[in-house]
Amino acid sequence: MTGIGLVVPAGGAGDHFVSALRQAVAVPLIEAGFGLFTRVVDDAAAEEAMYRRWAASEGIAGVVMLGGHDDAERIALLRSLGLPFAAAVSSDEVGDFPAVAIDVAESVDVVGAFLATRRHERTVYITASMDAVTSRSRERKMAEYVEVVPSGGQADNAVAAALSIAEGGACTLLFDSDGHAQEVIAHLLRTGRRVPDDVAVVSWTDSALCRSSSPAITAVDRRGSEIGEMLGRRMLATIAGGASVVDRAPAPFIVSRESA
Amino acid sequence: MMVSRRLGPSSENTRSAVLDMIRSSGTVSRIELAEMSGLTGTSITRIVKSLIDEGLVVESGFGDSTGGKRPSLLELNRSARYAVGVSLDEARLSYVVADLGGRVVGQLATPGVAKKTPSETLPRIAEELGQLFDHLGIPVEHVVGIGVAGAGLDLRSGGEGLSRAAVEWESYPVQDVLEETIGLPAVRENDAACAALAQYWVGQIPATDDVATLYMANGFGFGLVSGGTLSRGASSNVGEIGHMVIDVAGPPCWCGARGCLEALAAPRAIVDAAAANAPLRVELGIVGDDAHLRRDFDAVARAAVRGDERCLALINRSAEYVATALLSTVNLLDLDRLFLAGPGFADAGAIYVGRIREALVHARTRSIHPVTVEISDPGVDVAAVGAASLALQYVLTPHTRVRRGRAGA
Repeated sequence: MTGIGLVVPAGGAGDHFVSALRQAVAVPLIEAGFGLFTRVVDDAAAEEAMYRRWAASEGIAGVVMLGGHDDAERIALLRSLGLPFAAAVSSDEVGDFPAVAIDVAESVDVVGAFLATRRHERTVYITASMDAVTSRSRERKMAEYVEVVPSGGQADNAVAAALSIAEGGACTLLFDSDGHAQEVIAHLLRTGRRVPDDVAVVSWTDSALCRSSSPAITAVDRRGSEIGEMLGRRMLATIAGGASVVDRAPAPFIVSRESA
Repeated sequence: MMVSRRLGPSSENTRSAVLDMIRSSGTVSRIELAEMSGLTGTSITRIVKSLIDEGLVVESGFGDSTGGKRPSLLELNRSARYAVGVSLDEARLSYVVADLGGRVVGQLATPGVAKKTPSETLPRIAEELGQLFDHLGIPVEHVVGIGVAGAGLDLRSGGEGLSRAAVEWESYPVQDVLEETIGLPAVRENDAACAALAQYWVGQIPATDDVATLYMANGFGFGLVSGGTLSRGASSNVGEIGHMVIDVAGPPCWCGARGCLEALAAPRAIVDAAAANAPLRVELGIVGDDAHLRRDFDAVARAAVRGDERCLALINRSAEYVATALLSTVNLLDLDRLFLAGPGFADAGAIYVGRIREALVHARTRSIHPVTVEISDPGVDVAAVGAASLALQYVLTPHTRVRRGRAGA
């Protein structure tokens, strides 16, 4: 069986958007008889080593790349190794390579418009910088609209930041991570605060966790499954010798639930 | 909070129990291990030395002093060993490589079993395992074993009343053949049991809590982890919730009974009902055969989530039957925490959660404790993650095995 390779940074391995995308990338690949090999790596050196390993192997036909950090360097490396690739990247990182482009500005507009309709004046975005696809450019764009507090990907930091902000009065909190959003809600409820009346909570990642939490969490559906399938099909077209086409990812939308 | 577990002086598996204590503690000192286990300091020192010599445990700094020298802390050497979990599924084979701490470090997804027999599929699995190790740079000598999550009953040498599609798989000695082919220990459990085990490990749930998981793929399974170990029943076949009778006047089930949960609420029943509505069949592109069952069911589930009333009625009906079965199960087992897992809940899981929560308001124990219902966090690869955990547990901490008999042996 011939395979397609995918490297996921350890920080993004637990991200449900990345999980949904990875599951969906495999759908067209499996239909076409390929396997999807995924390796979780701790750093850029390990990622490079994996690409070199795959380039030296006859069993890997190409690489699906998740953009978001050092994209130009990684693309240059893949090209120098002669590994065909297709990438999911922020639309401002699009270049002369096959890709699915995610319009971060559009995403920010969708979320910003929703947040503007919330009743609480203060809105804070508590980032996790974990999905390794568009999180950094999203963080930059959102900083133009709301306060941004980084958590470094640690749930404890996110909870501490959220509780501290909530001390200052009613607010809306936006989280990169659905897991962080759920943990914060649990802490808020334990300390007698009402969600969403005192603190409204929105997750930038929709997931089963958001859907089954109590209260259910309002979230951004980032279309991970659809983007994944597009990326898988773009990969197949690339190894078949197709041109460097860039597909436009579908726009995200808000799934309004009980938490905001 | 430190949990004590006294080990008997004649325990044959003291070493594995100490290793498990280090795993569940994160970091721990030798003194704490002695307190937790009831073993002498000398015994702990000797056991820890052997674990360090084998590379399974490393010293990772120093703890706080309680008056004398600061104690050195121990933790698992996570990358010292790996285990692989394989989920056998008609639509997709999912392989997961987990390190010693249960962290997923690699995955492989390949075409599913479809209708192929074990004798056709196992050579492919062996070949793909070789590719997995090679392409992901996993040293084979550090792989302790393979866990296999397979659907349905584990009938070992055969039996009666087997499902239509899985006759050969049910009775085939998968683990024996895999062990022989790949030269690594193998252990097999049903996918629901693996899902429960994954929730227990990944969710860092204390060993004192019970973890119950309802798994839905093409049918249903029910897994229960109690006291840190899987409940297996007399023949490793506990949890056949799909054949709980919900409606005595219901449709016949392939097992011979009538009105089983599977016949009423599983994806096949829902897809058949959707396909009977000609306009809906065309609209959703329902094919209707077994090869497309997962895709057809997903189409119905997604349409229900989008608000299509015809599909919502079908999923709601399925969810009502599932909720009824779980109310009885909760009453029978006095459960307080339920997880829903597997690909069947990927799209419409929230609808099922809602219906089940409504039903469990009537749980007999409602005045004593609440019953929570959640969708399992390890996602759709939950069975493979659990199978890898099973292999780690089976090989590295044999003291946790159930004495009654080897699963699937």
